[in-house]
Amino acid sequence: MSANEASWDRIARVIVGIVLIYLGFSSVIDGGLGILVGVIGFIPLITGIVGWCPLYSVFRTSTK
Amino acid sequence: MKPDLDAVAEGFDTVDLVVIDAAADPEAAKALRVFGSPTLIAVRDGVELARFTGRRTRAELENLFQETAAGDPATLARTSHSDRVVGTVAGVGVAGVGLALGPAWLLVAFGAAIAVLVNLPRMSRPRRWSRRK
Repeated sequence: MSANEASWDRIARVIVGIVLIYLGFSSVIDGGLGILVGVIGFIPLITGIVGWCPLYSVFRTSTK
Repeated sequence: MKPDLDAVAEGFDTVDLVVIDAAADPEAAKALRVFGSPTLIAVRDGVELARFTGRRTRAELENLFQETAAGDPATLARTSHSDRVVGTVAGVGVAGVGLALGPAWLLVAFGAAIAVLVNLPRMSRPRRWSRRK
């Protein structure tokens, strides 16, 4: 599992993830949709930290 | 990274630099258990001190050569600079969001754990190399 994300890609994912987590678990988005958004926020966050995107691997692409 | 690697290697008479093109020699890459590119492996007296995959800064390469010459694996196997920056930003960000939400201690703990873990030195398990027949 080698990294397939460039630094800018990783930073962007981390920022998007943090924003989604905040929007999801604050009162900005109410109800189940908020929780869903918050949980989805962990996906870009974790893929950004790890530096590896499974979708990039599936489509054999990379930003690196 | 290759120009930096060559430049740093020139300054170390006691460390030999061996470069293997994994695409041109897949058998060697397989034998060395290399699964990503670029992979750096530090070996001293037949013992693998450390290995890591990913680009390294020139300062990190100089540190790698210095520590390989000294034979100290503890300081060799550190997470790369970019990994530490991304992980720290992510950890502090998540912890900040956790503090802003109440606080939500689970998020605070998760963020703090990320920030701490990416900055811990990673010990690599020393592995003795055998000569290929």
